[in-house]
Amino acid sequence: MFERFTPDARRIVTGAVEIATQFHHDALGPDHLLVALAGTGPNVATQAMIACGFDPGRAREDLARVVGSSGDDLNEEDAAALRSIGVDLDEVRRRTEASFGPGALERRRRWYGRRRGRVCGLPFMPEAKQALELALREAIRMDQRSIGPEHVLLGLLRLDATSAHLIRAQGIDPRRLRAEVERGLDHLRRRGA
Amino acid sequence: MDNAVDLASEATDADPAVGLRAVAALRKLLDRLEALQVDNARTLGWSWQAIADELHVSKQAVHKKHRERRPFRRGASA
Repeated sequence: MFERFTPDARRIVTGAVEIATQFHHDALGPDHLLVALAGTGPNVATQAMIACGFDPGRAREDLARVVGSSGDDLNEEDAAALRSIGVDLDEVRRRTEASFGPGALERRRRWYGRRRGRVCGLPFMPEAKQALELALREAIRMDQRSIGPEHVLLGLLRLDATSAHLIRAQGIDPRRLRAEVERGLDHLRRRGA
Repeated sequence: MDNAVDLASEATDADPAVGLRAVAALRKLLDRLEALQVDNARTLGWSWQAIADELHVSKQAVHKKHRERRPFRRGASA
């Protein structure tokens, strides 16, 4: 499905895979696409994000916190508090890891079982795929042959998924971001005409 | 570690701060275990209803709480 992607748009997908791998996430989601997109070189999508005050670094941190192993993991303080009521966190951890593997208590799994739609060896969450399909639809709607970063962003904005949470977490209304992208595209079109 | 020992001995004093902290930690642990078990049950093909029955909550409650972490929908094109 990537034949119609511009090199930049392809880089979003490979970048998203890299981020997910780096964070030890077991599937690629729309939020990985968003963070990867924010890291691409100046284009209508990233310019719109900047115009709305989107902070890529913060999104990356939020992504790690939302699905990662930091944030509200059980820490040493929790272990001490649990010990005070007779719960041995180390023992709970040992038993859950025996059944579910290392880091079972820490990791918030986001992918469960079905192993289809892999990209670069990583399962592709249906929502990530949906976002890219919506990107294609956006390109068709605009009568454009190839799918660029701006279409990917519009596709992501059409989904009420984890990617939208990352945007809203920064106090940005996805509709405003959408309007910014449309405006940027409009501007380009007018200059090209 | 000394800190932990102090904390554990303080608990016998029924200090609300220590007790409440324990409750908060327990809740965190509970959330983790629940997520882990629900995920595993779903992987094994359990229905939301079956999971809800075991947890003694409504299907709606368990679905609402866990579906976001598990965005996969049965029957969705993938």
